[in-house]
Amino acid sequence: MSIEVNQLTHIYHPGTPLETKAVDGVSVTVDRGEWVSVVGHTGSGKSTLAQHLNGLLFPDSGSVFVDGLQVHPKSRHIRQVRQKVGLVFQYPEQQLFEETVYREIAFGPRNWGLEENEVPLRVRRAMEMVGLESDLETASPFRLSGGQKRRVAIASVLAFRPAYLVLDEPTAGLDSFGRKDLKKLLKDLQADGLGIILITHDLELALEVSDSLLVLKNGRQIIRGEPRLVMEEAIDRNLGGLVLPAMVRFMMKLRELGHDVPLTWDPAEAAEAIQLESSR
Amino acid sequence: MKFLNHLTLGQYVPADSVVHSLDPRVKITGTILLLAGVFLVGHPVSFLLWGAVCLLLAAGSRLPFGMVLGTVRPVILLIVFTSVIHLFFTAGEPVFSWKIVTVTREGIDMALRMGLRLFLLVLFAGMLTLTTSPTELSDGIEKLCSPVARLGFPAHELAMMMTIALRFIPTLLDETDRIMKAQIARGADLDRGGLLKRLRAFIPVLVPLFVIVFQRADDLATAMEARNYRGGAGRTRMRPLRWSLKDSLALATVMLLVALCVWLDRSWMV
Repeated sequence: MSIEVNQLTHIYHPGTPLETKAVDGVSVTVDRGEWVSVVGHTGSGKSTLAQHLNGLLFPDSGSVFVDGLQVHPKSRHIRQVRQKVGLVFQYPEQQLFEETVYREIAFGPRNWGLEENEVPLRVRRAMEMVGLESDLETASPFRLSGGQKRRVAIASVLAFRPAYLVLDEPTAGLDSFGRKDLKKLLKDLQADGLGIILITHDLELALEVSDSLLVLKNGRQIIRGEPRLVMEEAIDRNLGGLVLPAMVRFMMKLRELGHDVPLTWDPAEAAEAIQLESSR
Repeated sequence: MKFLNHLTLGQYVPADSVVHSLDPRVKITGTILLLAGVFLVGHPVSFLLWGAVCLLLAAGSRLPFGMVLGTVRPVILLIVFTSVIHLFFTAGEPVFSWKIVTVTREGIDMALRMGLRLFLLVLFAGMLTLTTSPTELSDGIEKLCSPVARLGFPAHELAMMMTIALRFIPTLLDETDRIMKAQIARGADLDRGGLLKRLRAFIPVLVPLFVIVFQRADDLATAMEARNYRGGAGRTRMRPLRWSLKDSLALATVMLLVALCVWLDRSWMV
């Protein structure tokens, strides 16, 4: 049970002067319960890649399989795929349209043909998960704060219980508390067995939370692997201008000054190593 | 799958050509004259003549003729619809009759003429937008309206509104595309069912789009205000319009052409 992307290539405006290869020969596998982050700059093709995972875009060459079902324009199980893979777009609060929060979150489950008596349960559970008070059910989504709107939008995807969750820059525009809450929510979902695919330009966040990373530059994958491996590569060569976490840069500086410390982005590990080094 | 990819209506295609380099005022007045010409003629040969003029213009603008024809695509249904209405609902001498449907000789005549007229109309209008950038177009309109602007007509404001509207078409198409995808990802079924069901299915797209449009309008107004925009009074241009000999010649040619065509048509029709 996994999402398998194989040698995916996607070309925008083929056959015109505007032709661009947005994604070029990218492969990645995401198991259920695994957290994979796709890291890259604006224009690196990461959002295009995300839209292939639930059949909003289709590969020009290569293939995408979701739990063994091929994502293909003519396939009959395309709706099944879209239900399995929940996609949270960038600034998802802009997609809200209903009169109440309840109806907004119930939109997905109803579309996927869930029994009407199941719907209230799903809505409440989803609101609980994202940390929305139940008395907001009757509120208009347009009257909520930015952070709350984003929670409603994420809940509206969680409510149809996808097996995988793809999020495109979900932390954009959130304050540090919002970021922390979201990180915790995604970690909990991962523990429940959801596969998480995080699309971000924030290398620090990706290193901290992922089981595995895919770094894209101009549509090509330049590194794929565990966080530690990606960090080592990132130090060795310029990763398309991605910024290394401040903690890693600090540890690099200490090394330059002749101290024997590990290159880590975890403050606790760093503190321990520095203490050990200074007591020597 | 990009959902909205085939819109050519009102699109500008830059090229290095005579037609492109003409003053927008010539092109606007010329187009109006040509459109009047198309509606003032009725003889089949006149339509052929206008078709030839269109071909010449396309050649003079160095655009592939297929692209010029493409401007008709969005309104082809309208043209067919108009023709069909004329075909069946014009009174006259019947040539064909089946149950309640009657086709008259005059009907066939009108259907063909109206169809051709609309077709040529869109082609000429399409030539204008294909060869004139939105900025030039609105500059031209503003300049042409300047005599009435002295009487209090808001020429600059209207031209600015038009520029902004044209400028935001691609942006809004992108936004629509994004919202449609977001709702499809939430299980919305936008392309199945009857007309009413489909219209209802678009509510989840239209409501967010309206919210975004108002937000953008508000932001744009603030940004313009922050840069001290205060309407047309005393505003200068980066590229002022210059009328040259070429423009006078072009306008004179179009005037002569239209006059000649209409005159010939009158003499043939008698």
